[in-house]
Amino acid sequence: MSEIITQLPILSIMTLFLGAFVIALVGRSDEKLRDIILMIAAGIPLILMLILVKPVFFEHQVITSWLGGWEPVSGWAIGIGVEVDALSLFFGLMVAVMVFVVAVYSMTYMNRDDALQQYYTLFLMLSGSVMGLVLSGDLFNIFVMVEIMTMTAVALTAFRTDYPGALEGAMKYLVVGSMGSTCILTGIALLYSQLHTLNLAQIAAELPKGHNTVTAVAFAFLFLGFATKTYLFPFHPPEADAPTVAPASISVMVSSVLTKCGVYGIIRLCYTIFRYMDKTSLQYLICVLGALSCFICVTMAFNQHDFKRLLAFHSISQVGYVVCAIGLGNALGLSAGLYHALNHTLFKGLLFLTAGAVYYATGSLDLDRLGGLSKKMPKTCALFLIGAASISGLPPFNGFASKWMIYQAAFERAAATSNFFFVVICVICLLSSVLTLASFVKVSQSVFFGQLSPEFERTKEVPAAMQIPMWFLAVLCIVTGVFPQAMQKVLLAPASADAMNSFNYIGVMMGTSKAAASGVTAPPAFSAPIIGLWNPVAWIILLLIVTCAVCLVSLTADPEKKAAKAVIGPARDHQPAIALMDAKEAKYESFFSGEESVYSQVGGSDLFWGFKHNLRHYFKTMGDWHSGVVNDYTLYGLAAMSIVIAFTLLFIH
Amino acid sequence: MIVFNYVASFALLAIGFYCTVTQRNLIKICIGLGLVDYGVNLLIVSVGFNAGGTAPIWTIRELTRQSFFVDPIPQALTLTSIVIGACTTAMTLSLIIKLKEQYNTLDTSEIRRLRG
Amino acid sequence: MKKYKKKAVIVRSCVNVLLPLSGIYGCYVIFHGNSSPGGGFQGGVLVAAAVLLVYLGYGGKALHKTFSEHFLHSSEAIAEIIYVLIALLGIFAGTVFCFNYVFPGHWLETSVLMNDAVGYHVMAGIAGLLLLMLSSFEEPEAESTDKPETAEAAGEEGAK
Repeated sequence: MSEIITQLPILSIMTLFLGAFVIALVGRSDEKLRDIILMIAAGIPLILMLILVKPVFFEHQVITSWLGGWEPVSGWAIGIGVEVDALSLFFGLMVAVMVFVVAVYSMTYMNRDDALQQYYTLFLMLSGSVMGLVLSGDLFNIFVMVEIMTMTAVALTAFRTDYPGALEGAMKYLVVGSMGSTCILTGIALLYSQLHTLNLAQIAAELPKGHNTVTAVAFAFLFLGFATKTYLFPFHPPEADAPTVAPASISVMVSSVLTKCGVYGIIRLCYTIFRYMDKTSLQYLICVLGALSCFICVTMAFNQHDFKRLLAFHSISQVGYVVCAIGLGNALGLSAGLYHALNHTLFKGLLFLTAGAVYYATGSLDLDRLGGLSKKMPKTCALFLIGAASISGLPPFNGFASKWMIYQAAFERAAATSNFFFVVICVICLLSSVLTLASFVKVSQSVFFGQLSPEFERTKEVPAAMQIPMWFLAVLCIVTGVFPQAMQKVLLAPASADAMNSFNYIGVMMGTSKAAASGVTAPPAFSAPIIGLWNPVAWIILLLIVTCAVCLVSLTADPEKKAAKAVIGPARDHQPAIALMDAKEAKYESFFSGEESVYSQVGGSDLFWGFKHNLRHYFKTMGDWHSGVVNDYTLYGLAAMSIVIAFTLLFIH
Repeated sequence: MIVFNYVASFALLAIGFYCTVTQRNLIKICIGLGLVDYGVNLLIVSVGFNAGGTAPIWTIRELTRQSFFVDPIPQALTLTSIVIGACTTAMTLSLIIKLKEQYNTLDTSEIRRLRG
Repeated sequence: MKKYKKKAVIVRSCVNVLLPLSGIYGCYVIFHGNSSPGGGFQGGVLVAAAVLLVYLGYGGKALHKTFSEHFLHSSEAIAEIIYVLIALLGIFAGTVFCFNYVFPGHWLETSVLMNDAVGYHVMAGIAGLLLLMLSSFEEPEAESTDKPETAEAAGEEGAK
């Protein structure tokens, strides 16, 4: 009746859940056993997902299964289905890799906490629910998984209850998160009232005939629900709070894995099920939401004094990129969005893990106190720099490749439609990228370079068990960046082709005759879009040459001035950590060292004081908006809800 | 008559959201979230209701073409979402208990260490 | 709180009557869940109401004597494992996940067992939840001395 391969997605979900329950039972007494179970439970899904790569990505199969063998009766789905196409598997792979990495990292990172069996139980349940969400083919199952995801994420955010603000962050996450869940459930109810089915494929098949105002409202609700789970612009404040206060391993899950579930939902909803993406109004809506979160959150990051909070704001900003690219509505845009989603998962995971390593080694995440750690933790510093280069889009790292693709997609779109709007989106993305780079210069300056505070004199490098997962992510960051053409061919093109091919999605699940009768037409053969002709190696050579030139110019600067500065410059007892800070280069002192007497470098928040001073009104307004009062956040969410529903009724319906 | 159910469910949704936006007390926010849940549950149950239908409990022999009953799937969905709602409420309340211990207040305008 | 420490006789007598009833009725609902309204969740909640009844009739101390939190947690995990394993049986038997295997010539089928596992889980889960919530009522009296300090600090932080 069924080959074993159709059961692999379910097995990968259930392994995680089963692991969670077994740990809850035996994890209290035996730590060795607990770690072994954790490794097995996190490792098996990864292996299963890798096994599925060959049939799904190379042979273009779609893996389906009906729970309990309840197959459709006369074209009507009566059971719960699991449908894994390339898009699902793309996200499933991402989730499996991150879960495994985080599990390995947690074993060392969390070893100073107690009640760890609860931590691992919740963690595996969180992973299982995320896995279930991306592999499921049933709308209500998606809702249940979203709820498990939210609840476990909240509990894990508050896991270190004595960490300042942990409970508060969890509470805000819970309130805004349940708004999103409510939206999804309302959408499901409205959709069910019109179409009387919950199966995604069947909904897609029924919609051309059953389309009316109520389904349009249902679309708005579902879109809002997934936008909340992505923590897009008006819903974003809790997404900045929760990773700030959660343990670093959970910050990774919350900000780089959970947001992808929302992205997956939006892609599935807009491309496969409702197929509204050819409407320009929806493209405007998604692009505007993405661009707003992209820009506002990157500027918010300038004001932060907390390492992880800064990273969290960048995370939302990068997800904004992804959503922008998805909103472009062409094949290249979707590929670029998926590519950036993958890259964001990798580099943001890496950055949060390095933040966790800094916290593990020093016990602090305050950007104003930390500094000069590159001497004490050189490997973590190197890892951080790889992550920072990736996120700010420096070649040859992966951020560059995917951002390039997004710009190209935006311009292609603008050229194809001669619509100036997409150019504006592209410019906003470029601007945000520049600001991201500036912001990461600030972080690396205030955490890893500059002066070492005597407080952290005895800091040691983190153990190897924590470094291995980070190196793994760093290598992935480089690999995905250096071979963009291969990535496009193997992963992105099948995933975006499957996302846009609802005919196949319906046909595999419900039978081809159903798909043919539904009025959904098979899309033209998907031709993998060509990424711009660029070579990452050439770019890195150019970058090296420019860097050398800058160094050369600054080293061979006017000798008289140097001498003068050396006289004027104050006598120094404490040499700054970076070697190029020769006393003769005192003219850079104001940027790199700050005041001598107190052990402060240029404060974490003051590196771009001129910029911030000129835009102080903007920053003040933004600061006031992120007031920390949970009522305000729900109000923003509610406003966004009303606007999106009205917009849907007016323009999309 | 079923129209009243729809009106009531959206009224519950509106009251619940109003509660979460305007009330500064965490317990009241929790109640607001609960109201929103009830609103959606009422909506789902109403969606599956057929006027004059019986309870959807049949064995395969009794079932004929003429059998007329309410849609069982929304009822199952409602049951699930009630359970989930109960879990959410329990989670919220336990967080509130802990927050009260740490901050000694339930006022949201004072629970704002994370901001800006 | 102190005023109510001495439990009323009426409440206790009622509890004595209701306790076995709710237990048996809950078990009935669980075991007949496959063929009648009800099922694991509803029956489990009914059984778990025993925690509340014991608390009402006999107070917090008796509650902790009667129920062990650790045991309830373990039961919950065991029930979950049983459920998943029964569901996985289908895959190991070469069919699909959650396959409903009807034992030949018998009323027993795997969906009944899964229903019972749900009942067991909900019973343990809700009982544990109630136990946790009820025990949190008792704590504040024990450690009220050191609270104001931390609260003030928290308030200052918040105001800043």
